[in-house]
Amino acid sequence: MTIVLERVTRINGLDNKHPHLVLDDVSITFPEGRSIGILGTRGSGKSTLIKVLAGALRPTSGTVKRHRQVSFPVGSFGWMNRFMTGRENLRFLARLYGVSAAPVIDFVAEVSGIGAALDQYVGAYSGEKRSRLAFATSYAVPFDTYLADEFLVGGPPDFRNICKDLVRQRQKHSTFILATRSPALVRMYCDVGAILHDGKIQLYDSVQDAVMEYSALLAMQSTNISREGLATEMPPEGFWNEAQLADAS
Amino acid sequence: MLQDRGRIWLALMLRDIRSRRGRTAESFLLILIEPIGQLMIVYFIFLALRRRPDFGGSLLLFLLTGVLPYFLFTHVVGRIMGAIRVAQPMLPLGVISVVDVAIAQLVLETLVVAGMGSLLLLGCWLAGVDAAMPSSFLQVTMALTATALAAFGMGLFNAAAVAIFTAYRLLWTLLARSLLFFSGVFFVVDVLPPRLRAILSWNPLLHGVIWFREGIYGNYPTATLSYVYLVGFGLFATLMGLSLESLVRRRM
Repeated sequence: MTIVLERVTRINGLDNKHPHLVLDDVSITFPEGRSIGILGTRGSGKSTLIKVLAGALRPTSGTVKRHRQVSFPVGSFGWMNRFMTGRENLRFLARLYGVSAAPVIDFVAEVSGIGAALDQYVGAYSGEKRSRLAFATSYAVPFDTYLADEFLVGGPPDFRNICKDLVRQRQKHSTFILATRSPALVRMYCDVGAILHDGKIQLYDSVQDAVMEYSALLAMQSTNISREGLATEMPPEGFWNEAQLADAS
Repeated sequence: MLQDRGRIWLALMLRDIRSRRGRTAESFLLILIEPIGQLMIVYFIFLALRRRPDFGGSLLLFLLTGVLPYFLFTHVVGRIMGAIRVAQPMLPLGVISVVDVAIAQLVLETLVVAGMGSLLLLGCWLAGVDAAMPSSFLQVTMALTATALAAFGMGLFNAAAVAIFTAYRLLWTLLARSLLFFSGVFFVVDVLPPRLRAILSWNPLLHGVIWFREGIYGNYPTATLSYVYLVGFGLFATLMGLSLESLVRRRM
């Protein structure tokens, strides 16, 4: 086991008088060494779940136990200080996790391909450089568990391919927990399926079972919403198409 | 465990130092110049009024020994009040909490103010004010530590209070300014009427100022000073701050 949730309830919006139950008395043990794809519709609480697993949000009640070193959400960039260089931010990260800075910096320099920009303030980075730095950094520290909120790879196509290889390499030794709306992403990267719906998480024996259940859920939701005359949450074109999603990710 | 926390606090302090440097090249110099500037303004106003120090032979030293604890308290509180905002983007990293950020800010700010104070006291001493050499380094250190602890608790409490009521920030700004006049920075508290002393003695910073002056001068009047009150306030405020912060974090 890597992360265990014990009777976790999370209510968002308690501070702005619009409370919304996101996790409802959830108890779950995420299996170690597997890649778990958690499917959820828009607004189902996927991002909240990942933040709770990462430790960025505290549960309203219940306990989250992280038994081994858990990553920050893959590709997240907000923690970097814009008044520090890329190299300085990496040193900070290495210090935090108690790993040697030199290999982390060497890894990011080689994988990201941003070269001399590593010594510029990250506040001055272009969007592409920022993506390259963020995703390369995500895989630079050898975590036991990697968390991802929709994105496992990012940046331009050639860099995405590098990231995909990195994901495959890391999956050999680490647990992955990916929360996404996309069944194709789950099919592509995961060997355990789950669905987050109405505040509950249901694990499935196979990814296929989870995807089928999720399809049924989406169909039911769109029918219900259509009946009420509201906009439906239909999946975008190519949503079910793995070949397209290989790049869309 | 403590070693891990120590590593994280050090990382946060170094990050703070680096990012301050990044904002403007002179920002570190400004940290030194700001209190010196304020001290000089007050000093020249007192000189213009031909006012003599309430204690000791040097007006500059008397004011300096009052301004330093005041600066330590208000600067630490001010920095820690922003701890939730500063910590927010780093929380997804999983290993950092708001309290870690607050502790790193406490240590760094205390070191900066203590370093600045040491330089100013040394300057006074070199300028011929013999009393600027502390009569008890231990007392001075303890006074600054207790004042910093009180500021830490107050800062944590304020950080959580601001997260709940935004208007509290304005209230604190007014209170912090007024502390300069109610903390015995410009006068010796023990010469005031007992009733007024009793009211003022609720202010924890007042005790920090007296304690610090006791460490510098050695024979400073300390009838109003309560070490227990200052340390007790610090511990109580820290406990309150931690509880309130935990509550706020669950609601965020």
